[in-house]
Amino acid sequence: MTRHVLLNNVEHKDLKVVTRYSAEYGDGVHAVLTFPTEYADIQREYPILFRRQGDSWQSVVLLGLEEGENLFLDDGRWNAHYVPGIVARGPFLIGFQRQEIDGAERREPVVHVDLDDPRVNELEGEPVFLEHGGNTPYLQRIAAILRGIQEGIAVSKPMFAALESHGLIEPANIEMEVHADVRYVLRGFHTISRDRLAALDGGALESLNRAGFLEGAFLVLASLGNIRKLIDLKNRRMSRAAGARTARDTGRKQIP
Amino acid sequence: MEGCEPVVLKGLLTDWPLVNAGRKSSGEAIAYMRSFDNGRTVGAYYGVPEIGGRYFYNDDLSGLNFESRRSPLSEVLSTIEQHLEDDRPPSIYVGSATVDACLPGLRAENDVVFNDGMFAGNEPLASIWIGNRSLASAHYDAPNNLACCAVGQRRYTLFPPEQIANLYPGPLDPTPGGQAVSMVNFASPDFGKYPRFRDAIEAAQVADLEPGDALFYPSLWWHQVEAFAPFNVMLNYWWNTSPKFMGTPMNVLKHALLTLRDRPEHEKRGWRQIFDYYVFGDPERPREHLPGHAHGDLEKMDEMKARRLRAELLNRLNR
Repeated sequence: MTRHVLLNNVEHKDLKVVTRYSAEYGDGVHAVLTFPTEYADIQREYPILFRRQGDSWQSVVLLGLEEGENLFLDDGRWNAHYVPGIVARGPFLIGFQRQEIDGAERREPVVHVDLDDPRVNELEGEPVFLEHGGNTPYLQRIAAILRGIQEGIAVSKPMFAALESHGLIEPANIEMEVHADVRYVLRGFHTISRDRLAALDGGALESLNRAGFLEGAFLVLASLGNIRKLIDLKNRRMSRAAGARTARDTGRKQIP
Repeated sequence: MEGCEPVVLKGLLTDWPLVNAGRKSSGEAIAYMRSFDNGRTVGAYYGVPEIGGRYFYNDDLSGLNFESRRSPLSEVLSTIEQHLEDDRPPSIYVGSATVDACLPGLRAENDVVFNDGMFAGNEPLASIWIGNRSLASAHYDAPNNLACCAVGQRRYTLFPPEQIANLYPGPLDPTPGGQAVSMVNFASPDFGKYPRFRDAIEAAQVADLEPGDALFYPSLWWHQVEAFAPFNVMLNYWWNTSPKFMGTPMNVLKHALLTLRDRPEHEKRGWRQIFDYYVFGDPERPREHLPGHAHGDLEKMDEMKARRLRAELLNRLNR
């Protein structure tokens, strides 16, 4: 259930938002959307992959190796320096309001909140508004994140069109050996073709660079190194689980 | 303008093709305007015939007596055209649409040249007002105004700013057109309810404009605007003579309602003295006894000082 309403400092004056991360808040997912506007932050910690959604492309952040697995989620915390915008925005989203500016109509982005989101309450978490109705630093941060997402949505379409026109998107065959007898194969994702990117001529490089998409292509390639990190996280989690099992089986107290 | 008085500029626009088309017929004027239409939508007011073009509040002030929606300009023109011969047409009105946004090219042939030094950096905003019979209740606008009657007859009833209390302004929000309007029905004033309106009448000036006439009136003058023909078009130019960084004094008024109005009487009296000293009085007085380097915000504002002050205010308002 969702109930999206325009956020305002009268009806929502005492609103608070739980900023913990948890599967019960929908954070237990192995991939979330990301946008070119945050590639630089994302690629330091996560793999960025492309996915076909209907007839358009999306960029996603890989968080786990199987359905519903988020390896960054740990006991209410998100174990990374940068949390993807789509997650960090919490129960807030971008809405549009028709406004007349200088006699012409414009669709102005405004902040909406999902009142049915379990993180939204009046008792615990970060307050959204200050005592007299001003915006808290938390809300200012949310507004900046939403702006980034909105700008990211706007640049995604031309970016993918440019990458496709240069033949730079290719299927990503990702096979990982987490353990001698545990292998993962991720299907359906795409990435940048390293060979084709390296083979681009000067004119193609210039036009991609001028449009601001060349950096994104390299950031996506660089991000793939983080698949190694996912495997490590997975390994750690599996050995922790195995340790707990052994401890339970033998009745010994587990030594961390 | 220096005299702070309204002035009629008779026949200023006689060479406008729009004026000449309208002199032939409403249909010619509509066809001429259509030749510039770019298909954009404009904000349009729609009222039942019973309101007689008086765009106002409903009886209990719980809302307005007309409906406001975006429509293509061509559709508005067609609807007006269909009802040109009607005795009781539905009321249709397009107010303050930016000319260059909805009728690009119109000003290449129908424009006023603004080449005085005061317009440097204060380019007038040209808007167009289109409708059948209409009455916009008395209100003030912040900029100076040159109203150009292109098609149809228009009557302006004007009052100097000090008449505000005698005009009984309505709510600050909602308003029929963005500004608070006089609650008095000038056609049949209820003097029992609005006795001071008699004093406003004493101060009123009336300007009747024919196609081709223009009217200048200074910023903040109250004006009721009536249009009488089955098809009326007015172009107007709004301009300020203050730098853009100043922003609108309406923000100051709203902030004063928030922070000043409901304080104890003696405090309000004190603040009035302080405002007179720093804001309304001679700007030299608060600084003339201080050395230049110590003037700070008492010095004349400029772009950079304004930026700093704005940042400070934004910060302090967010509480």
